[in-house]
Amino acid sequence: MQSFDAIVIGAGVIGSSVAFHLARLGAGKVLVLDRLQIGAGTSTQSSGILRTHYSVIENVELAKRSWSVFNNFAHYLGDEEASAGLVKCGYLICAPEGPKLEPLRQSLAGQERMGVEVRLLDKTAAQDLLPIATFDDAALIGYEPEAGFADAYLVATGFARAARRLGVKIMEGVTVERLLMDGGRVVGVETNQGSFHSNTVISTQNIWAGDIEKWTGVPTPVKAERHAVLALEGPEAYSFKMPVFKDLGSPGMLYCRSYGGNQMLVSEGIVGETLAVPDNEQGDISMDYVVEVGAQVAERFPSFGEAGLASSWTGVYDVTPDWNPVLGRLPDVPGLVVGYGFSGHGFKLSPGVGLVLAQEALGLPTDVPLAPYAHERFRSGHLLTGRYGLGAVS
Amino acid sequence: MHVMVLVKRVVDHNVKVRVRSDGSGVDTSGLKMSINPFDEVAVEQAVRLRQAGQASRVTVVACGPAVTQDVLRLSLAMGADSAIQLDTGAGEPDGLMATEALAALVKREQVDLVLCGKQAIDDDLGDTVPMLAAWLDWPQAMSVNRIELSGTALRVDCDGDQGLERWSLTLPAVLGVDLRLCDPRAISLPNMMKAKKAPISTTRLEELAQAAAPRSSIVSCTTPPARAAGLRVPDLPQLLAHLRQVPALNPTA
Amino acid sequence: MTTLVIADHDGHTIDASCLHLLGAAQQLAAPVHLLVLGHQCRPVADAAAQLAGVSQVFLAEGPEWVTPSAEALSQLIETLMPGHVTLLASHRMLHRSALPRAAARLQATYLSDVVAIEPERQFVRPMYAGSVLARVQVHTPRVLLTLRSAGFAPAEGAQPSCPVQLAPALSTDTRCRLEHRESMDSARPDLSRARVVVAAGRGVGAREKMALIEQLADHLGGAVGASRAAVDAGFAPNAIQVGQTGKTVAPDVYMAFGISGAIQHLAGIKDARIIVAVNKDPDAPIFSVADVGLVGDLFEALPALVKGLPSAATAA
Repeated sequence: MQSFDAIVIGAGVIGSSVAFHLARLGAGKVLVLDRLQIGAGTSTQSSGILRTHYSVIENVELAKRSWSVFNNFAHYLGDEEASAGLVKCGYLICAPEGPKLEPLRQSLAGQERMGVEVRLLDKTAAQDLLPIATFDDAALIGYEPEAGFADAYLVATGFARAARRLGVKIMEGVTVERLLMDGGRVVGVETNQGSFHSNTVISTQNIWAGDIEKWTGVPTPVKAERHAVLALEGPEAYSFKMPVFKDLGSPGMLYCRSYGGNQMLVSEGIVGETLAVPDNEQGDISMDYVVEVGAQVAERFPSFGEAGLASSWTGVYDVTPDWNPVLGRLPDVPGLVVGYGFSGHGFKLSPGVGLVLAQEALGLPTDVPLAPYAHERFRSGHLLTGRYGLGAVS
Repeated sequence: MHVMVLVKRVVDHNVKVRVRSDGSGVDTSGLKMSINPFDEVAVEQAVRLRQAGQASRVTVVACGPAVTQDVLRLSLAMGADSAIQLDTGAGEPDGLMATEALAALVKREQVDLVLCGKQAIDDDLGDTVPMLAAWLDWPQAMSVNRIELSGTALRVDCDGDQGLERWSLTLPAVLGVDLRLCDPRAISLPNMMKAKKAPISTTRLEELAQAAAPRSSIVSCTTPPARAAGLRVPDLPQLLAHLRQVPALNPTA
Repeated sequence: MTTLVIADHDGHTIDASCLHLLGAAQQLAAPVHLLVLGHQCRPVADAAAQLAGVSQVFLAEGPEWVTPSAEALSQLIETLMPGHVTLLASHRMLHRSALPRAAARLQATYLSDVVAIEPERQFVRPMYAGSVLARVQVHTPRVLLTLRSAGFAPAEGAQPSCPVQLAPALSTDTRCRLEHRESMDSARPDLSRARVVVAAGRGVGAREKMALIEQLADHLGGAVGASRAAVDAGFAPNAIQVGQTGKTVAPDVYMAFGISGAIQHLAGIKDARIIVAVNKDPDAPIFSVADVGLVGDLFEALPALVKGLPSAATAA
C-alpha cells in the first residue's frame, strides 16, 4: 500500500488549490483523488464571479488574498502558460430603499475598513460604467474596481498542473469508499483502486461531502441546491468593460455579467432546487423560470426585454445553514481536515482557502483564522449568517 | 405551402445517460430533456421558409405523453404557427405505428412538405423520415444540408457516402435534415411569453393508427467496456518508434 | 429463412466489409444470397459468386445503380425480400435511408449499426452516441439491419461459382433525380473503408494548416477525417466529419491531431484498432482512449511523421 504525507479527496477548484499549496509549503508526497476528472464536478459550472464584497468580515480577508492570486495567476503558480481567464471589469452592487439598504451600507463600510477600494457612486457614474442598465430606483450604489470574473475550470486545471509539476500525484477515476481508521485516527483511504495510506486526509468534496457523514458519523450540514443560469442575447452589448452587477433590488437578487459580445450571463442569488441526491448533471430549466428571470432583467436592463435565450445550464451549490463553508479539522476525527459548504461562492475564495487548509493540514499557523468556520458553530449557534439573509452574498 | 415539422423530446445531448443497475434499460427520470437538436434545425428552417413567403404555415408535431408539450412550446416560441401533440399515453409506441399516425396527420392537415431531423440523438436510428415517406409513398432525402425551393420543385444538397449529392425532388416530400442546414435562432423572451399561452391540440395515437404489437423491444442495456487508456509517449522520437511497429503503418513489413 | 446481404464494392473489387457481413450472416445459420448493384459490374457479381457460403447472387445493373435513390433501393429490396428473412447491409448512408423505408413497406423491423448478433433473434446496437449498448429482441418475421462490419469476423474461403441472376428491372421513380454528385478526391481511399485515417480537430486551426494533415494522409495512403469542431470552424468539409452525427470509421489506425475527444466524436472511432492522439492539452479526454498519446505540438508532429514513417507508395 502506497504511503503519502497528505491525501486530498476531490480535484475541483478547492482541492487542486489545496494540493498546490501543500506542495508549495513543502508537504512531501501528496496524492489527490477524484471520482471523475479534474474540475469535472461543480467547478465547471461556476459563473466565475470574483469580488471581495461580503457582509461576513472573515470572508473579506479570504477574498482579498484570493483576488491577489487571480490577479497574478501565472506568476503565483510559476507557470507562464497558466491563465485564470480573468476579466477585471469591477463589481457594481446596488440596493433600493428597503431592507437591503442598511446591510449594503454596512458591508461597504466593512470592506473599506479592511482596505478594499470601494467607491460610492451616484446614478450618473453608475450609468457611465453600465450604460445598458437603469438606476432610477437605486438608493445606494457601491463599486469595487478590483473585481470581475474568471474561469473556474481553467483555474482548477491550472492549480492541478502546477501541483503536478511540484510532484503531486493526481489520480482520476478513483472513488474513495471509506476512511481507514486506526485507534480513532485517520490512517488512509480505501478506494475502488486500492488503499492509500496517510495520517492526513483533506476532504474537498463539495456536494459529495455527505460521504464524510457516512464514513465518520459526524453530520455534514450540506444540501445540494441546483440553480439555473441563463445566457441572454441582447440587442446591445454587455461588454467585457462593463462591471459584474449585483441587483439587491430584484426579487431574485440577480447577479449578471458579460458573457461575451451581446450576451449576458444572469442567475438568481437566492434559493434554488434542493436535490435529494448530490448530482451535478444538468437539470431542466422551465420556460416559466426563463420568463420570470427575463422579466426581472428587463426591469433593470430595458433593452433586454427583447433579448433572446442563447443558452442555459444549471450548477449546484453545496449549501450550509449559514451559506458559509466548514473549514478546518473535524475534532472527532483526528487526521481529517475538511473544506466544504461553499454555498455558491467557493471559486472566488479558492486560492485563499487552499492556502489555509494546506497550512492547517501541515500543522502550520493559518494566515486567516479558521475558528469562525468551524463545524462546531452549527452546534454552538455562532452562525456566520450574512446581513442579507440567505443567499450567496454572505 | 403547408410545412409540418416533426420534433422529439430527448435527453439533452450534454447529459451522460446511465444504465439502470439491473440492466433493464436507461433511467431518464430527472435528466435534463431538450428538443432533439436536429429537429430544432428543422423547425428553424420551416420558420425561415414561412418568413420568406415560401410557406404559408408551419405546424409542429411531437409524439409522446403530455410532458412532450415542452418541445412544442419551444417550437412555437421559435415561430411555428401551430402545434399538435400526438398523445401516446404512458407507453412507447412502435415507430411503425407512430409513423402511420403521422402519415394520417399529414394527410388530414394537407401538408406539402415534412421536415424532421435526420436522426434522434437518443436511439440514433434515423428511421422516422424513411418510414413516414414509405407510408405516404412520397420521395425522401436524408442528411439535407441545403434546401432550394421554387414552386413545387425542390432541390436539396445531401451528405452522401462519396460526398455531396444534389437531388431534385417533386413535392410533396419528406426531408431528414442535418445540423448544417441552418442555425436555430435564440428564442426571444417576448416570444416565450406568447408560446406559454398558445394552445396545443392533442390527438390520441390510437385514433390515427391501428394498434400493433411492437416490432422489437429492448431487453437489456449495458455500458460498453471502456477502451483502456494506453501509453503516453514523452516526445516525438518515441512516438515514431511506437508507430513504426504498427503493421498498418509499415507496409513493407 | 435465407439471408440477403448487400455487397459493397468500388466497381471492380468487393469491399472488405462484405466479408465481415458474410461472417455475420454465417451466425444466422441460413442460406446466404448476395445483392450487387452498380453499373458495368458483372465482374464484381462473378467474384461475389465465388465467395464461400453464397448460394445465389442477384445483380441489379445499370447507370441508375451507381448512386441510387433511397426510393429505388427500397423498391428493389421490397421486390427481392420474399423468400428472405434477414437483410444485412453495411452502415452506409444509402442503406440507412433505404432500409427503414423498405422495412416500413414490409412491416419488418429495422435496426441500425448492429454490433453483435445473438441467438433467438437478438441484436446488440449502440444508443446515446455509443454510451449505451442495447440488446434488442426482434418480434417480426423479417428484419433489416445495417451492421458495423468491424464487429464481425470476416468469412473466408472460395467456392465454385453459384448462379448469378439479374434482379428484376424497376420502373423509374421520376419524382427524384440525381442532378450532381461531388466525388471525393478519388486518389484517397473512402473514409469508411480506409485502413488509416488522419483526422484534424479544432487544434489544426485553419484551412491552410489542413495541408499538413492531408500530406500525412497521402504519405500513409490513408483518408482524411475531421472532428465536428473542425467542420464547424470552417476548415474541413462536412463529408469528412467523423462522429455520432457523421461517419463511423473502423480503420487499423486512427490518428487524431488537435482533437479533444468529445464523446460524440469517440462514438465514431470506437472500432479503430489503434488510436493515436497528439494534443497540446494533457487533460484532453482523447487521451483516455488513445492507445498511443503525445502531449505536444501537432504542427511539429505532422511533418516529423511524414519524414519518419515509411511511405505507403513504397510498398511493393
